[in-house]
Amino acid sequence: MVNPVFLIAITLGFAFIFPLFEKINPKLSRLAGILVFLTLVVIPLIWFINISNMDIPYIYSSTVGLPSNLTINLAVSYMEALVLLVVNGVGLFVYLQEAYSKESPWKGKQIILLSIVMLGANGLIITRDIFNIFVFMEISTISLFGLLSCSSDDRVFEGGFKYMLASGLSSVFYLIGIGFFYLVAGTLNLDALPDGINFTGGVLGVLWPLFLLSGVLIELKPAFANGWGMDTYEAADYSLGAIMSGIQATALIIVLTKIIPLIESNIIMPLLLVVGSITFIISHLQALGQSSFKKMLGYSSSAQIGLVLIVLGSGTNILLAIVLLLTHSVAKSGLFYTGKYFNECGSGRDKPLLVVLSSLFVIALLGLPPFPGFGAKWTLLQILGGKSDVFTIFIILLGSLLEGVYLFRWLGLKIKSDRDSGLVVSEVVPDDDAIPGYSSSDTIGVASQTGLAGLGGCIKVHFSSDSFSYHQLFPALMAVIMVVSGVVFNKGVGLTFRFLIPFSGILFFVVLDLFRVPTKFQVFLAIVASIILGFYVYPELNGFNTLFGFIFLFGIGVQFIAFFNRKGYSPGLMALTVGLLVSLISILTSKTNFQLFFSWEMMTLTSYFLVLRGDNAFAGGYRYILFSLASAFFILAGFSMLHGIFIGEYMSLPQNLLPVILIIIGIIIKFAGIGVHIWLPVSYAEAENDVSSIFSTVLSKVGVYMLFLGGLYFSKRVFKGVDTMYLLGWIGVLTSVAGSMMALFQEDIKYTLAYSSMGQVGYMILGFSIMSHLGWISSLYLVTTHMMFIGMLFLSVSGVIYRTGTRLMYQTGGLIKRMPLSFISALFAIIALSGVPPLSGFGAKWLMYSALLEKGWYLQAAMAMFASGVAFLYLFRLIHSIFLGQEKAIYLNVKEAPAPLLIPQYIFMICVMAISMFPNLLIKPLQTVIEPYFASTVRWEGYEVISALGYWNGNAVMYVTMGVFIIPLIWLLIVNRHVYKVKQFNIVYAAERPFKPETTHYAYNFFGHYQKALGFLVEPLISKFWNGTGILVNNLSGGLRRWNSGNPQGYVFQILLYVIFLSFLMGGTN
Amino acid sequence: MLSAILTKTFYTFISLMVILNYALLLIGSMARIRAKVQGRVGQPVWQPYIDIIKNYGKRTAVTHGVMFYLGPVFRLAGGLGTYLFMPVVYGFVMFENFSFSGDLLLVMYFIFFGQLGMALGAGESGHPYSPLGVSRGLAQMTAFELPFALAVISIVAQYGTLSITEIVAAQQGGWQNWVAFTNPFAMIAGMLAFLGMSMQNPFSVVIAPQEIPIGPPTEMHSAFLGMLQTNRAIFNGAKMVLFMNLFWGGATHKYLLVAILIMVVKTFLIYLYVNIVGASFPRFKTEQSIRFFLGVPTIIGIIAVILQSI
Repeated sequence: MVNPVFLIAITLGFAFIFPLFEKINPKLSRLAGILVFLTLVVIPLIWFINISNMDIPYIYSSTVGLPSNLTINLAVSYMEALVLLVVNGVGLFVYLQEAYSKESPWKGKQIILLSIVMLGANGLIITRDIFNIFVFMEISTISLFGLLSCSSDDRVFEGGFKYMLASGLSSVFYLIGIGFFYLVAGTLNLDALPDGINFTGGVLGVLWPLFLLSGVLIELKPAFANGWGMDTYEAADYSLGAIMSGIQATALIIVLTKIIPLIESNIIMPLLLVVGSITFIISHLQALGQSSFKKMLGYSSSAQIGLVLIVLGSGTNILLAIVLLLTHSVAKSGLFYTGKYFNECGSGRDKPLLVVLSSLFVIALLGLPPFPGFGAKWTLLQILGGKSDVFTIFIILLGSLLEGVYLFRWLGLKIKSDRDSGLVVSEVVPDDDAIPGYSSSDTIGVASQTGLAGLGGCIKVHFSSDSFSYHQLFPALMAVIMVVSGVVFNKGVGLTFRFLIPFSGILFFVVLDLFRVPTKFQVFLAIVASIILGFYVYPELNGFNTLFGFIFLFGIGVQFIAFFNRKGYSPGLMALTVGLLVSLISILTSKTNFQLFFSWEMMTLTSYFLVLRGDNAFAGGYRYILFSLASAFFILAGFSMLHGIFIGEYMSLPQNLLPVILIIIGIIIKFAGIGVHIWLPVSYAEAENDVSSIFSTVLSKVGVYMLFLGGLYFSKRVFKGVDTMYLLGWIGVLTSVAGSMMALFQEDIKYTLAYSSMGQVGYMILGFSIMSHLGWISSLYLVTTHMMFIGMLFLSVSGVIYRTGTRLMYQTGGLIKRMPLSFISALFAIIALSGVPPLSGFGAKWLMYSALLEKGWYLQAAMAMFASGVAFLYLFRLIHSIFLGQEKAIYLNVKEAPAPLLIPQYIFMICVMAISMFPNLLIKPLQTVIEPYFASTVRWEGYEVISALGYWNGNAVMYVTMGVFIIPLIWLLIVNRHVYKVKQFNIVYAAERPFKPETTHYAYNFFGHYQKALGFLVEPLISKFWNGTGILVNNLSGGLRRWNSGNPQGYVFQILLYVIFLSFLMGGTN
Repeated sequence: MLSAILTKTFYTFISLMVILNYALLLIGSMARIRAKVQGRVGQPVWQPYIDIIKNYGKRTAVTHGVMFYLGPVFRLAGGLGTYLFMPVVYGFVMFENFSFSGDLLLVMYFIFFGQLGMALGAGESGHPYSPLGVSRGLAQMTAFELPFALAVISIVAQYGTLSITEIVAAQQGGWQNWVAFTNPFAMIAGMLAFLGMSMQNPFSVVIAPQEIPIGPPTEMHSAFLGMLQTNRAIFNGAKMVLFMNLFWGGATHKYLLVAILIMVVKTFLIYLYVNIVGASFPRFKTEQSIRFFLGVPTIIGIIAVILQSI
């Protein structure tokens, strides 16, 4: 076995010999460097393997062969080997990046200093001597200062000065701590101390841990003594950021783990918890307001250290802290590099690999799947949940959300297209005297929504000659290693290997993208893949899962056809869409909460990146991911309190109220319930058209699925006699009303449909919350049929946008003559959506009202009816404004929508007609699904379904409708034999001549009178609330940021205050 | 089977003829009553017959497109369907229509069918006043639907059924059993909503009959207009029958003719009420109508529902 001392010898030796090498042959010397840094990786790898295989606790070295109290010992356990592996890996990565940099490669002293930094870090990790730790800390600090002073930034001396000042102070504290410790313990060698002994008693008992801890903690840059560190990050090169964050901080945490056992646990644990919590939250808040990328990452590092301190302080498994630390170490180093290139190249739309890598590192930092941080955070929260430690759970999730706020903002800004303003563009109805689109030349492209979103496929991500570069190779390698280690770790936590197979689909399509396989061929493969997936998972599905499996697979599978309309390459599109489908299916096949949540987060991420593909999607994507994260964190908090019992096993779940409420809040955010809906319209509207359609048809149902999965578990008494479901029912119905009302006043058709979706999902939630046989049938019936008719509508509208290039309804008009097939599809869809008999939508209404009335929820029923009436208004407006009325001159040559967009619409239409004609086709299977939960309250007589209150015979209704339609039609054909088709302007116009179609088409501000009467209901109060919240958080962040003034004296003062603060935490007042 | 279908067809035909002729005469007579109130001589009672026959008899017509052509067909189908999905005279097979196909919810939603079709037809005409009227009409509709829905819900809560036949059955045994008296708040909310449904003053801004034409009929002429007029009769008849069934005990007697007579009297009075209000009040703007219906009538409706659910 390799002796640990070799790590010291190699790095030190290399530092001495390198100048000589460089003089002889610079190229060879750099190669030698690779060899050395590679050795630093290989040695811990060997240890790691050996320790795992041979089951030995330690690889031990007493440097001069004397007893432990007389010598400096070095020891490597499983943990140290792992940390060394990663830290040295990052070191190798830094070396490769910098020694072979194109612009100004590191040479001579920089390489030497890097080697010394590695020496310091390795020493800190392996040494077992408290004084020796001090030595290595000094080595690290001085070498890092040396590197800092080589930095190209102008602020380097200022940054370096602050760094030395703070490091100097921490060294002083640490040294004093050592002195006191020696007085108490009589030795500085950790191995010479008896196990499990805490050294307490008297003033010294408080002083030594205070100073030792202060020394280490200050180096770790805790809030609110972290300002000096941030200024250093700002001044340092990107590589130095990676070193500080990925190497030095990691090593220091290991030092901390060596000190912790020495101190009484009832002192150290709460202290770490408090210090960690403050750092985790405050640093994230400080990072929020940062415009400097490096400082932002610096604060993020500080916060991550806070998280690790929380884990250490909560007394959970130390391995979790290590995993979080290492994930952070690698991801942060990677992000420093990709960020560097991003900052150099501006928008990343033509740098797909850079986009992918940055995304992966951001995801890894946030602890999202498939990275190791995800499994670690999950396990941590499960442990905390088991201990009912709600406060710590809250802190961890709040901090993670804050981290998402700035990391996703940065990522989104890098990915967004150049023409994306980054703002939510909403149509404002101007004063009456302003006539929009008055001149025909500006009718197209006048409004910012006239995004030509459909024209030319709208994908701006493309490969260019400099899409890939050598410098992305190593970050890519790191990302691959992280993904693999993430998969391995998460598998250890509870992901079955079989469960991971489908995710290889994403990889498959990524490879196809790399080989530039045309999108059309990829779509074909995706359809085949979804069929195979269907066969693969079908045997596993039962009950609700079968139904939702059908919706997900059939819904997305059919809409894949629309993707055939794309031309050329759309890198990432199919990988993400297939990823989304696979995630959704995996949600259904999950057997544990962990698997479920893993898939849930995968779904969130794939859908987020799908939104971001839109041309103006930054704001939409940003809102989408933030609210999705918030939703996921609520669910996660709820799951952590279920004692590991799967949410699907509702009978055996614990009966306390808190997890129920948390999970329900998470689901409400996910389905965009009123109050938390602001993410939905903008993200659905700004995603690409065919993607929006998938979101609205399929993805909007996933929150509903989660409700059905928990089922009866969610019904709990909250207050005296008030059920959670009663409250949820009100939220559902108010969401319907709000969605419909807001859809009514939109000029942008995609916003109309997005709000419409929101309203319809409100009905589904209402149906579920009734908690009866009929209620659940109504909900599931609507889930299924809504998928079909909103698909028809969205794709029909996509065709219109594709052909006309505008999303503003009033700019179109009279398209029935040019696009009759799209019109028919839209017509059937709106009849179904508005619930007009004889189509299937009426079934949904009938079931819902019957269920509501049966339950005695009369006011909710009335509200639902009102919402349904309002829905009728906006649907009419939609079809009228686009297809009827006056045709505009610029659209006279518009053609019918392309076949790939029409085919899925007509497939859905056939399904809608079948269900309308034979409602039993759908309702009977739904009854079977629901019967285990509720006994059936409806019976069948032929095609007639009979509830406790009423009855409905869809088949008879269809025949009667056909009869009453056909007979008058025949009559009209007979009496109206001589009919002449007239031209567009041949209308009775009060003896005047219409001026032009633009002024004759009644479409703009169609329901102006309604707005006058009820416009106050749609005042954007909720948007204002969330904007206000955003401003508040930003101001808070600004305030906290100002605490770090940049003044070195101020920083010294902060450090001193911090030490006093620590002394209070340690009970110094006693 | 065949004889059953033929019988049903025959009964349907009779039922439709009765309501068509009755409603046409009712429209004519009400127009005459309005004229008298305003101090005019007014049109003959049979004027609607003349209008319809004249319009169907026009030899030429123009069309703006398929949807324009189908609009009146949709409208009439909506009127016929609404009428045919409910029982007209309680206790007689001949007048039970196709009420076995669905309950009150079906009738309430089938009303939309004709409105949607007509609105689409009017939209394709390209005339801006058509959709202008549609927009006003639909907006007003959503507003009066709320008190109406509340009234209906209150009745459903009262009798525990959505079946119109059963609601009528529950009101038998004397006038004191009518919803109008057992559940007066529901009746008031419903009857106020009915004013909006009838599109007379003060809720006539939808068609604004006194000024330039507005609403779906703007571009309609010849047989198209004839069809709309036919529908107007049947649809009005259907709505009055519905209100009679819901609030005024329906129409029943052991003799069919007497039962029909009861139906005639009750619906006449319901329509007269609309006319009295119409003759007495000026017209609301659309937003005023909306505010009106969502105000007092809705509150009364809510009271009706709350009283029934206690």
